[in-house]
Amino acid sequence: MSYPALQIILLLFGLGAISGALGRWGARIGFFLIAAASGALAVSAALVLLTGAGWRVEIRELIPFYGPLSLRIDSLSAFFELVTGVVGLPIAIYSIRYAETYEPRYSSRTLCVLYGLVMAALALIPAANDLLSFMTVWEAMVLLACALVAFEHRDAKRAHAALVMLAMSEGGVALFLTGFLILWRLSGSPLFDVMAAHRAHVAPVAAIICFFLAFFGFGVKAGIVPLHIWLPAAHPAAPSNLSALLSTVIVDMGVYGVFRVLIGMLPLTPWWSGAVVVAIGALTALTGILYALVDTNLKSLLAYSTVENIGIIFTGFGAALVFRAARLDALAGLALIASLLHILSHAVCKGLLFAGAGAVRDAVGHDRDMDDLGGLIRRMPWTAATFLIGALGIAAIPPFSGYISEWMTLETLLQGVHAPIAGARVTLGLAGAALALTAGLAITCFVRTFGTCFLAHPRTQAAAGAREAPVAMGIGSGLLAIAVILLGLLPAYVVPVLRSLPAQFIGADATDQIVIPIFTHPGKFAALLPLGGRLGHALFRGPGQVIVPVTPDSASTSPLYLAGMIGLFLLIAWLILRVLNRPRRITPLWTGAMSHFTARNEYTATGYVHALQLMFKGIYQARREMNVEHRATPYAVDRIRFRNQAVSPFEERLYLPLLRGLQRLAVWAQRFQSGNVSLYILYILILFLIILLIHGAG
Amino acid sequence: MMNLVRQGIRTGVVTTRYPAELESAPPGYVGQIELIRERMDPARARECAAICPTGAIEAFEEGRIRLDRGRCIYCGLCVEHSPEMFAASQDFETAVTRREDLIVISGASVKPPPGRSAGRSPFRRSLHIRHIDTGDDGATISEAKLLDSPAFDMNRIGFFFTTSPRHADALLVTGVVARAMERPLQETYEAMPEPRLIIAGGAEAISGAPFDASSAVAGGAGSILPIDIFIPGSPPAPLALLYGLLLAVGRPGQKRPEESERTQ
Amino acid sequence: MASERTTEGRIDQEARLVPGAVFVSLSAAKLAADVTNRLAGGARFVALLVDSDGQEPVLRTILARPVAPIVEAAAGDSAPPYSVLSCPLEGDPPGFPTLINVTPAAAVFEREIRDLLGQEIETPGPIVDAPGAFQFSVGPVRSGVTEAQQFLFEAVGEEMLHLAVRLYFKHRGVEKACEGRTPAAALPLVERISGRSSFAHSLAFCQAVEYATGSVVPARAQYLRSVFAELERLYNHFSDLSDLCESTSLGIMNAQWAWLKEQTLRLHTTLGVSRYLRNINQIGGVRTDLDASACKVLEAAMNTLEPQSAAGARLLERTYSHVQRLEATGALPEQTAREYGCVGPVARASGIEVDARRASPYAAYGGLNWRVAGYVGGDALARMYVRLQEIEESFSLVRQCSHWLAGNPSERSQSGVSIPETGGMGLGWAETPRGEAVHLVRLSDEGLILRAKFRTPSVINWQPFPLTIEGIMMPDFAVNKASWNLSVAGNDL
Repeated sequence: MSYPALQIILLLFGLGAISGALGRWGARIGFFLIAAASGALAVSAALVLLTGAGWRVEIRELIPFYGPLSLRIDSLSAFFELVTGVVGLPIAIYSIRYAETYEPRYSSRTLCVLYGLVMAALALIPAANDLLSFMTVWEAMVLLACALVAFEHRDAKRAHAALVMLAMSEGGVALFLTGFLILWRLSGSPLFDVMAAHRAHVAPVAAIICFFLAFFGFGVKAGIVPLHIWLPAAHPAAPSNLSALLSTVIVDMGVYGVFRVLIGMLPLTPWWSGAVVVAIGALTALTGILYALVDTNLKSLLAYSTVENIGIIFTGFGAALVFRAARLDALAGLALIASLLHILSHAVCKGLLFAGAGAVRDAVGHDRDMDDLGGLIRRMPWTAATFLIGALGIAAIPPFSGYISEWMTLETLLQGVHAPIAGARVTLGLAGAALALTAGLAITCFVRTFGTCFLAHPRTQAAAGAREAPVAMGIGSGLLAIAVILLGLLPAYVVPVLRSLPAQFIGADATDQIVIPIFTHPGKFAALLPLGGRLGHALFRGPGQVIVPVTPDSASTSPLYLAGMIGLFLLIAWLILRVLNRPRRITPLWTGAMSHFTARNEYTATGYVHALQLMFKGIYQARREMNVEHRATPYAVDRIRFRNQAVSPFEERLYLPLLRGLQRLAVWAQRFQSGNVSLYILYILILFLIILLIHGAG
Repeated sequence: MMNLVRQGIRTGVVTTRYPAELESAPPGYVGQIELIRERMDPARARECAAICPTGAIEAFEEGRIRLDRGRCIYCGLCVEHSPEMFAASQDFETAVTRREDLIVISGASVKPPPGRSAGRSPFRRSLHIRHIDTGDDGATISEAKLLDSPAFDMNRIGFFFTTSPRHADALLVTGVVARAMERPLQETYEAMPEPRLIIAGGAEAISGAPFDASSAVAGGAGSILPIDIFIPGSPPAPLALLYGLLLAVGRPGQKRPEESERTQ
Repeated sequence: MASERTTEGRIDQEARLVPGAVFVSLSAAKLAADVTNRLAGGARFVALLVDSDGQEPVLRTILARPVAPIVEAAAGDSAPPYSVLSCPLEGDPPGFPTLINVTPAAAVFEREIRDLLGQEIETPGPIVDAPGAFQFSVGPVRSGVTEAQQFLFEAVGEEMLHLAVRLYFKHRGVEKACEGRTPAAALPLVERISGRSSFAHSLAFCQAVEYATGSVVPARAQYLRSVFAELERLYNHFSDLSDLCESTSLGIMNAQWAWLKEQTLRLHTTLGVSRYLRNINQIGGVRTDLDASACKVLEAAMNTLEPQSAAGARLLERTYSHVQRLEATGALPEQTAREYGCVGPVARASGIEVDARRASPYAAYGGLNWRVAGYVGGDALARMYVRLQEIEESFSLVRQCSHWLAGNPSERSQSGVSIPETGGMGLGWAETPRGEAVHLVRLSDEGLILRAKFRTPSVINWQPFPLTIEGIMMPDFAVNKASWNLSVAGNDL
């Protein structure tokens, strides 16, 4: 990529937005242009990663008293541009038809315009290299995303969700902006690369303060617990194509911010700051999956799953910080690669799942409870198949994409035993246990999700009348499904692409220890040499398909070989079935010979996790109410009303008191607003005096 | 927990050795009713036929008797009335593979033990049995349940009760077929993979006696499904059921040299 | 008779005293008020049936006398234990006074009556307003070797909101099949009302016919009847405890109780009777006798079984995992049990002393020394304790009877009357292992059965059963069900 390439891409995004304003066909072409721009973005970002050739431009003296505006692409920026492009392309193709499903109530043109603009902002955020341009594109992204969440603006609930999102985002901005201002003050420049170059001179206390300001400030956008509450509110409100962006690229911009500041601009911080990131990451992962588990709205379930995956990403990233502080550079590199890989993997899986959720939403009318769906696999086979691939990917089932990144993260945490600090060992060990539990619950969660939505009989008329999504939407899902499979099968080709990232930030390149030339490797795999290793090496050129987490004696895995074995066993099973082919008799489902088996008799999504809900009842704080109305006697039941809703404690215990406090503060502050002009002049005078005093003292 | 184990060990082995060794039924056990003479006084024969509560006895003109063991409920009224013709036997190896083998006529030559040819059954060793209650009074169920208890422990010879008909080789039907159970019976049979066996456990399941006259009863299971094994009795004792199951896998009286000399 | 006079509307009441029951006629309009009064006075609802006197249908309500705190059984209370209120039904189709607001127990009987009168039956299920709720159906072909019935749970996962029990899959028409038969010919059918209560049901039936025909049963037969009735209770309780241990996955104890049950069943054949105690009772006596040597065998068997059973009981009480699952599971409050007129171990576990052997002694029970088992709380644990207590009492009762039988060898066990030739109506009762069975038999002048009503304990106890699922989770349902051990065949008839 180069600066002109980025300009062309931005131009394409802009043209897409303009074309979208022109009409229904304009919107179609607009989305097509956006898709093309996203593709170009992905390709050019990948080139930067492969060649390591970043660039930097300065636009001088545009703003008086500020200094130059600057754009810069390095490996880290390029990686996030790649994620944006990889998800942006299929989702834009998907949107070509999806946007029209809102017609005639809402215009597909509005959607296209906003979508093109938000994509342009997203492409610019990682490239911004100075505070002003960064804040500009960041705010553009926040506002456009909020506008998109409130796309169905006639629904007050959606508008409210957008408002919550906006308020929380701006709260986050306040935090990380403070951090940036401190760094500006210390380095004397609003340019990010200058701040980075100046990092050795940042005092440890200031570094820690900036560390947490950036972590929590950007963490709002990323959705770390307890700052995640806007996610499950915004996702069901937004159109599904925007949800797909929201849950992947937009959330990842928060991750980008954290990465940029924590490893790109700050000096080495003590190990415990990384341990805090690990702890919050693990907590986020566990909380996310626990709430996803009991949610019955498909989209807010997926949002909680995003929270979970952000947790996994930050756990890996925190481990990288801890290892870096412990001078275990190879492990730090491994942890960073694991978290980067998980960002990519989560982006494609979640994009795919939201595309599926959108198709389902379109097919059954509007957002429905999962307990109202069912039987969609027969009605929408393509959507079901791609959704299944996405679910397998996100549940970390080999050989799909989530498997390798989660496995690497877990392996990294297990290798925390090598850390020389006891506290780090304990933190990483506990986080490993939490992630293992998370992975198990994630499988439960997505078995339940897929089973309830797609299998068995339809539970409502709407589900029974569902039809397959239009081709354009199918193509979008299909592209993402291919990405999930490829990323899952061939991580050994992806890891070397990320080589420059750890090299740049940790100063160590662990890639060769992760993807080793297995056939000719003298260590653990030495036995392969006499067994025709040379031949193998000749047949499969390159590093080999085995992923080893740095130390070969720990463990190793190969998704490609795993897939080969799975395929082989399936083939054997199929052959056996062919050989033993006996006359078959199709009989109805065995129901204990009951007479009327209907969809009412099917297990529901709520029922599936009820036992888990009881197990974790301390966390869910479920509110249980049951009242029974009787007929003549108390023994003849007429009507049963039962509610057992899991209530997220964060809103009630954390945000409501906070909000009440703010309100009280506002009421208190009203006293100063008397409306008397002379009083205001007095305020100004006092302020002026204070500034003079401070300046004099400084 | 240790107390439980100790109690278990203290009780020792109570399981029957049947069929590895010959087992004799406890004294007083009535396995089936035998006809011990060719003829009896015709008038008394008619009385016997009238006294039988299930109509299992038919008296011929010349004083010969036809007894349908598929209808006999072992009430013993005929034995009390005419001990010169009827006698209770302790034999429990009473199950047969053909309905007509349950019908005996006084003086007729004793048929070869039915089902001994072994070869009819598609199963050799293990048998997974799905039980269906089509109108049982509870006694046959109680006896069938005892097969799983330590006294008989049918698992040791490869017999298991299974939950789903999908996994079942054999369907054990107990009780008369009540009208409301006709369809469930049919459905359960349909749900079984082939090959499959139907075992009728008890006179109720074989013939519907003594409720076959009731309008709420469709009759015995034989009127609905093709039955492969008939186990008479009301209820059939666990050993009789066990013999029926052995018959179903074609290995009654395994490892028993005296087998061939056995006469009915 | 004193208590019978307290009710309103005496003018059109015409009381006729028959051994065992007071038969009262009254008008349909007065029925509900009369039953309300009697129930308020401590009477217990027993059964409701429709019969026909010549042409028009007659509604008969059977109530049990209030239980005096201490009944001097040996002295013999003059007041009969049951009363039968008969009122003719008029109109076409006949309308009948509903008792459903008087006692909820009448519901199932009224449904049966409507069915017999060819009237519509409405059974709307409850409206379930619960997100994520589903109907979980089990049966009629249920897993394991069990009776056919269907449970329809309205559930949200493990939590059960409502249970509807669908029975009558096994309806064989026993009552109808008995009609037109002689009592002797009906006995094999009666013995198959509920397979594991064959003896008690045949006993109740024989006593009903004996009352109707005025037959006299010799004392030896009475003692024999008590022996067999208690043996039946023993093997049933062993069997129930075995099932209970199966439900709590207590493998060893499951095997222990099953072995005790098998030993008891084998004892029956050793005594010369069938395993399920069939073909023993006959009108006017019993068909079999236990001589001195048989009594010895019996006592020896009691001596070997009792220590085994006592050891099993001790182990059960001490196995925490077992007791914990039973505790507070499926609690039936005393009030509910009373309103439904519950009987048997279920009622006794809820603190109600109801036992036909004590309240209205029959067979030899009047002359025997024993106490009624009882417990409070009404949960599965209480039901287990009641069964354990009853096992102890049954051992003692069998011994007492066996002593008497061995000491009075000259008595006859059978009366000369085999087929009574008179008509009439009789009420007989017996305490089956599951509770009181009440049989009403009306005979024609030729001695054929015109109407038979078999009120089994299960038909009463099934009704409050679904109420006890509240607050228990799906896995505990099996425990609760095993602790009730209700007979489906006995309910479906």
